[in-house]
Amino acid sequence: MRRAMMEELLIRLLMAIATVVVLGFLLVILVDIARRGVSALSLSMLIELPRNAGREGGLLNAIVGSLYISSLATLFSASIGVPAGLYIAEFEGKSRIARAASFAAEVLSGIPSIVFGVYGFIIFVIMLNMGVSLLAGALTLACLELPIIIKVTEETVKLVPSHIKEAALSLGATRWEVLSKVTIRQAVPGIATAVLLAFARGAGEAAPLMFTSGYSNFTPSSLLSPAANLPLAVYYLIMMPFPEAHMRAYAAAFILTIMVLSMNWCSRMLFKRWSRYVVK
Amino acid sequence: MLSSKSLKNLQHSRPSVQGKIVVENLNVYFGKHHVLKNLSIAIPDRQVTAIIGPSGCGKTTFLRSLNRMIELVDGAKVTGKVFLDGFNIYSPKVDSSDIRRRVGMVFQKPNPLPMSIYDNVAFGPRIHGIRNKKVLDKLVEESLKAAGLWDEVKNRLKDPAVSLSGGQQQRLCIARALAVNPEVLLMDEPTASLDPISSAKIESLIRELKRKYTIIVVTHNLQQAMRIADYVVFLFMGELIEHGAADEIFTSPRNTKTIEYLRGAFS
Repeated sequence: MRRAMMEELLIRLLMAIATVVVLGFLLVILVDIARRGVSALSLSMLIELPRNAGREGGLLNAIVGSLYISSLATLFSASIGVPAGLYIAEFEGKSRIARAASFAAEVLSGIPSIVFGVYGFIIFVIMLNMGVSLLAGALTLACLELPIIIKVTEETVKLVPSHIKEAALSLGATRWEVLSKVTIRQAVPGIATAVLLAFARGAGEAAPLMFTSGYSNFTPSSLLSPAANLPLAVYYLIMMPFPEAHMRAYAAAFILTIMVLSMNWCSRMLFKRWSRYVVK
Repeated sequence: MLSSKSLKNLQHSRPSVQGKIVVENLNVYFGKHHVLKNLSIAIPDRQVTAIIGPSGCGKTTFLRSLNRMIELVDGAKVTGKVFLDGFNIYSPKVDSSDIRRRVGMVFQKPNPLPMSIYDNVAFGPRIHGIRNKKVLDKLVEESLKAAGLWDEVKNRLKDPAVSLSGGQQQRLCIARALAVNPEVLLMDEPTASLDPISSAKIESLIRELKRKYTIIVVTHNLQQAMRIADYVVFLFMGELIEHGAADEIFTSPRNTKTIEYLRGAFS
């Protein structure tokens, strides 16, 4: 009995330490970015375009660019990734294509993002003649987000209990009706999480966009014009030899972090809302 | 529509005995495992038939072969015939979805769909083409009343089905099965996961429902079988050992295996 209590205490202590470490890191990063960036942070940062090589003015180009690129990329990857994940989860046992796709998604998720950047440049920018553009960047980012959406969708759909499907089948539902009316409803919170997770991941990437969407001091005027983004703004600003640019880099990092965090928060709220009907 | 030729075939293969469901030489295999061995039996119309027998004797498999749910099991093979009102449900012309509408099923664990109470009951009618809101409203109300759940949920039809208690969920599942207007209701140990009070409600519901439906209940609980059954089927190791009116089976069983089982020699 005493031993069991000691073990219980020890495990609890270890878990508490792990939690504190994780929270601590998050806090340190947030506080540090905020502290360094706050003096440069102002309303003009959010609503003005950069002037004087980025040393003055705002980051509107990067904010708008990031939103456009990440949203488009997530739209592309979700419209392929969600059906693919559903297909793999439903047919993995029977279809060789499904197994191959699942394997491909796994391999794809292990590829470094800079490699996506290089191949995005070769395929979209050069071969498909899109030039360095918003579209090429979004498509490259979509390729990077695709495995996340596929894998998370697949895992959620696989978790749908078989007794729910049986209930629908026993009422005379066809397999398609079960998938489209029951399985999806049970999996929707998980799929939404997959999509938002992919968005957050994409929003934080610099490497795939460096050669594909390029950088611009203006907001993009069309799908085929180059577009800036926040991670690259941070990178370029921090490389500048001026202290005021460094402060602006931290401000950009702060905006990016807030963007991703609020996205995370939204996904949690949505998850809660949509989970109401889910069978546990 | 059935062609005249296939209709002739169906007529030709009509069962020789009377019953709502007539099973002839039914065999079920899971891979090499022979689970049901040459069962032949007639299930009486609008009565409660209890299927009893020890664990692993094939009760659930038998039940699931009566609405072709057995076909969903990988590697399951069925031979023989199951007639519903004289037509073989395993004939290639028959649509399994249509059979499952006519032969409803209630499972061991309540299995509500991930949607509201209303949508759970309306699910079946909707997939069978009923779109009219008024018709659906009426069907949902009637089905919930028939399952004895209406008064408890009429003010919260939009609530998630999972917010109901276990016993309520099971009655919801019964309402859901009734909403597609079936003729037969298959119940696989419907009270196994419920508390005694909820179980009692389900049992009295079963007695109520037999006026309109043919009910087949798998049960592990002999007392329950005695309380609700009109007709009893005893299975052992995949074979049909004895069947007949409940009074006869429970008071004067003929087979030694049945006698031993009823005495509690094995379970």
